[in-house]
Amino acid sequence: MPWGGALLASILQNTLNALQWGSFYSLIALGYCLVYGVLLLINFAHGDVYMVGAYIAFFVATFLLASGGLPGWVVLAVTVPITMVLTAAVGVTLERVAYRPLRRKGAHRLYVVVTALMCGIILENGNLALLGAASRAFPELVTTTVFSLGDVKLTNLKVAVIVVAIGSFLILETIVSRTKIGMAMRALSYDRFALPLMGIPPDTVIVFTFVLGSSFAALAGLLFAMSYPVLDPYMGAMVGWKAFIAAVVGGIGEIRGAFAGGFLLGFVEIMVAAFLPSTFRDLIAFTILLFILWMKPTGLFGVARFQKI
Amino acid sequence: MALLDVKDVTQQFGGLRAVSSFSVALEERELVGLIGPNGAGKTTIFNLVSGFYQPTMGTIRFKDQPTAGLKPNHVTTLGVSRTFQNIRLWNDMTVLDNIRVAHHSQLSYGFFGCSFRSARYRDQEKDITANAMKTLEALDLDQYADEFPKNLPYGTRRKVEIARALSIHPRLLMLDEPAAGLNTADLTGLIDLIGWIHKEFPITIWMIEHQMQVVMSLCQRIQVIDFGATIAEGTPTEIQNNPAVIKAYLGDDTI
Amino acid sequence: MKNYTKPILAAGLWAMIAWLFLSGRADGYWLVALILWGGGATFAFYGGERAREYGFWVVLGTLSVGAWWLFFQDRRMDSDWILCIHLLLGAMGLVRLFGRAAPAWNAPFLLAVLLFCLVWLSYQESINVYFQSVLMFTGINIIMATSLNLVNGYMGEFNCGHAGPMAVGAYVSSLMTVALFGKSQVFGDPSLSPALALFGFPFCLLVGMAAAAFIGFLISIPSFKTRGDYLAIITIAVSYIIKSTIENMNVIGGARGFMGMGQVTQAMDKAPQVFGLKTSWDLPWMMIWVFLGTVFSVWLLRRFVTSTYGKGIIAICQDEIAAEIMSVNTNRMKIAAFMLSSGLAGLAGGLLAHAIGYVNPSTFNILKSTEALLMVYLGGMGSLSGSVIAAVLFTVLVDALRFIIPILNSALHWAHLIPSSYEVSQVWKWVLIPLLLVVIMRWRPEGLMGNRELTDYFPGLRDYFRFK
Repeated sequence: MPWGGALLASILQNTLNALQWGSFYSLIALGYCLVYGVLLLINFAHGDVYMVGAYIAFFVATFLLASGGLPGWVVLAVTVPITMVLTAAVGVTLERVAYRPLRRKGAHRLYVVVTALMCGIILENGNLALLGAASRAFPELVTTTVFSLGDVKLTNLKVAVIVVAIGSFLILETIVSRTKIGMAMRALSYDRFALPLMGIPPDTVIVFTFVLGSSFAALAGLLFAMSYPVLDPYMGAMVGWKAFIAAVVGGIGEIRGAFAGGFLLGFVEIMVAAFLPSTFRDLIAFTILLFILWMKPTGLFGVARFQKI
Repeated sequence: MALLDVKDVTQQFGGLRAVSSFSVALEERELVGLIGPNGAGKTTIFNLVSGFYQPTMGTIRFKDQPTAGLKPNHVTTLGVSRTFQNIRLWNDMTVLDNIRVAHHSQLSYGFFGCSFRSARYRDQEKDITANAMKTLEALDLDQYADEFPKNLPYGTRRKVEIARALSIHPRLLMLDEPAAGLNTADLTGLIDLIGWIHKEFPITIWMIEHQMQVVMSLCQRIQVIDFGATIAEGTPTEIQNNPAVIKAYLGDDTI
Repeated sequence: MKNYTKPILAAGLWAMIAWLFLSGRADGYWLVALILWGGGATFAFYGGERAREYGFWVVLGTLSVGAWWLFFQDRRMDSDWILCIHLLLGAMGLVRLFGRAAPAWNAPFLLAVLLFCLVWLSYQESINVYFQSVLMFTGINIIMATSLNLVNGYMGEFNCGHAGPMAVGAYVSSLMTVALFGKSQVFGDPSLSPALALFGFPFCLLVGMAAAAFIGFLISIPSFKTRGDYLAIITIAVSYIIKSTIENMNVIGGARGFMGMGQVTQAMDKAPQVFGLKTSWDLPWMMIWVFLGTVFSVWLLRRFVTSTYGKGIIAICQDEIAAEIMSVNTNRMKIAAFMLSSGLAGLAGGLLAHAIGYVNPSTFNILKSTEALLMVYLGGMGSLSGSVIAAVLFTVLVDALRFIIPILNSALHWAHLIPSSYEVSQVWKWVLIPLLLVVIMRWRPEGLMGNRELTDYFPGLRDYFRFK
């Protein structure tokens, strides 16, 4: 059955691509979900934090490559932590400069959301204004190895992306459900006013949340830059919105939901692009997501917050 | 024919049976109390009657008309009005507007009426404003008409909420813990107010309350529930001496 | 607010005067007039008790004297401006003197005079095409912001896909006008005489509004059960679906866009002969339609939210359960709010399409929705006048920055604050505007006006401008 075999191979290949594509969405959606879970704040700047992460990774990697004759994998190993720390600093700066003062003044939640949206635009256009419109090519740090299983092609990068996404999910899930600070995060999301009464400084918990979310966005940015080595200032905008949608479809505030939602969106997009004209991608992807929200109004894993009458 | 006839109503939340086989019949112009320990299912019964929940089993009839499947706003238009345990006023609307919006279902001018300020619009707005002011005056609240509820003291907010529920001329007024959070001075005022309302308006009052002072001095008859089921029913004095009630409230002392 | 408004307004005014003079835009004669005007305004701000009595007339008087001064100094202000300024001043004086007699007619009267002045100035080419287009975008932005405020401010939902219904309104009305009155590849020759365009145009706008309102109806159905951020997603998804659908409809141009509305607006502007009568001169009809559309939107929304019927929406925002129990039919009110909001967005879209002359799906991307959100939250949730002020500020700022950025660039170069190889480009506009919003939010975390109206801050206005 040559035809059936080709179809099977094509499906397998596309599934792999979808897993990779979904990994990026998942990593970004996790950041949305963490901040939302703790503060009920849609951090619309998160997609742009991911973009900033990719740029930081670019500058760090180019600098390291240029300054010493280090081998690629050493550069990568050094770039990852530096990028994560620097991007986390960007995320925390946003929280300190833009969100916290509003929260302190007791502003309506939606004003903080719109501030986040504005911060995202500032990051995008600030980048464009400072660094120019020329897109940058990310240096190749690790030689791509292709494994062929019949017609299905697998690169080491692809495998790494998927593994990192799953690993990040497991790490985050463990932090939130097993550790003390994770417990504080969950407590904060239930009652913001009770937390300080229990002797836990809420700002520390919030900063930690932003550190976590931003560093995983940085990881996504770095991996994306390695897989599709062209960077431009608006790369985070669209991906950010979509990842947010994925997080909501998964059930916002639920880490499992964000993870699953990201993969679901990636899967739908790749499959539509593979079998239909690519202009239909957004149309069908969003229609499917809308349908899911229609069937399950609180997302795949979300639980309706019961309001006491 | 009873005004409100609740028959064998059961409400199941997943595995939890919040109300089981609850029955009550309220006659016209009665003042009935519903008491029970915390979590006994009292507010759930109110929510069932006002249409927030649909009963798992049993029937609720108001004015001999089944209310199954009706939304809360529809039940209210039939003549059931209520207040809430934690005051639910619209805090960024003036007191007068709070009362006016309560007349929402009586408005028939609709979208085009309000865009063109039709004659019907003007008449109805005038009517409901007059009616709202009348209610406020009757409850001695007219000096707060242009205040925002969030700026009023707690006791006054309670009163405004009662005024809002009363302003639409309901046949049945359900008060969910009207005395919660009031101080002693407010409490006597509240008892007088409820007594006065009951005397002055052609209305049935059904009240959940923990303050025995309020229940015992106002209610003509009292129903006690625990774990969603009725455990006693009778006049205040009967209830006070009922061993089942004492057991539910104070626990079993025959250890 | 009260403590800051006056000093900020006064300081802004004098800073603008200084800037006009220092940048060489105003010569010595203009400076005299500007100082006169600024002095009048400052007296009105700080004159205390006396200003309350005479401030209005002092402002009117200084405006008039300054205008005449400029007129006699070598016609620095031409006769059309003199005419229009005095018409406006006269109208304001009349309203001040006799307005109390019929307060309901003050606002329509003033708006009619304003419209006449705008049309007259454009007709005489005293205000150029660029300025006219800025005026039109201001109007369109006002419609966009106020209509979104109904859902996001008054009802407290988070609709971040306002561009979706706008796109529908724009495409439906454009397709109709072009099919009826214009020549195009899609529809061939016009099916009606282009001379009728003037009369057919509002009808086409209405159809566009109806189509957009239908989108609003579709969005409102999930809103019965879904609230908050899930609903936000539904609105984004709907707007993406609309944009993507249009991109895939190659018949009407797909992603390339659809054009041909230019001929329709030209047909309106040319003197059409109807029933043998010369119905119009070469009037700037698009500007008139935008003006009327803006007034219509604000009027409609204002009437809606001040009626007890419309206040049901505010009740839903503040406490939905209480609204339900107090007999508000929440589902019906949600439908009404979404349909009205989306319908007016469709109006804004239709006007925008005809003001520009072509539409493109990417005009209605997420950035458009973001602009609308920016204006609503800058103005304040639940404040129509706030939205209007924010929309005007935003539009003016976008266009002012076009001129300010080059000045900023040369100033920074002159001061050697930036390397000479770097030019401050127009991209900075989209850094500065959001930055400004973030700063304003820190200063006033509930937007410029909070949930109050202009008349709550300046109760004196209520005597003259009853806009209901």
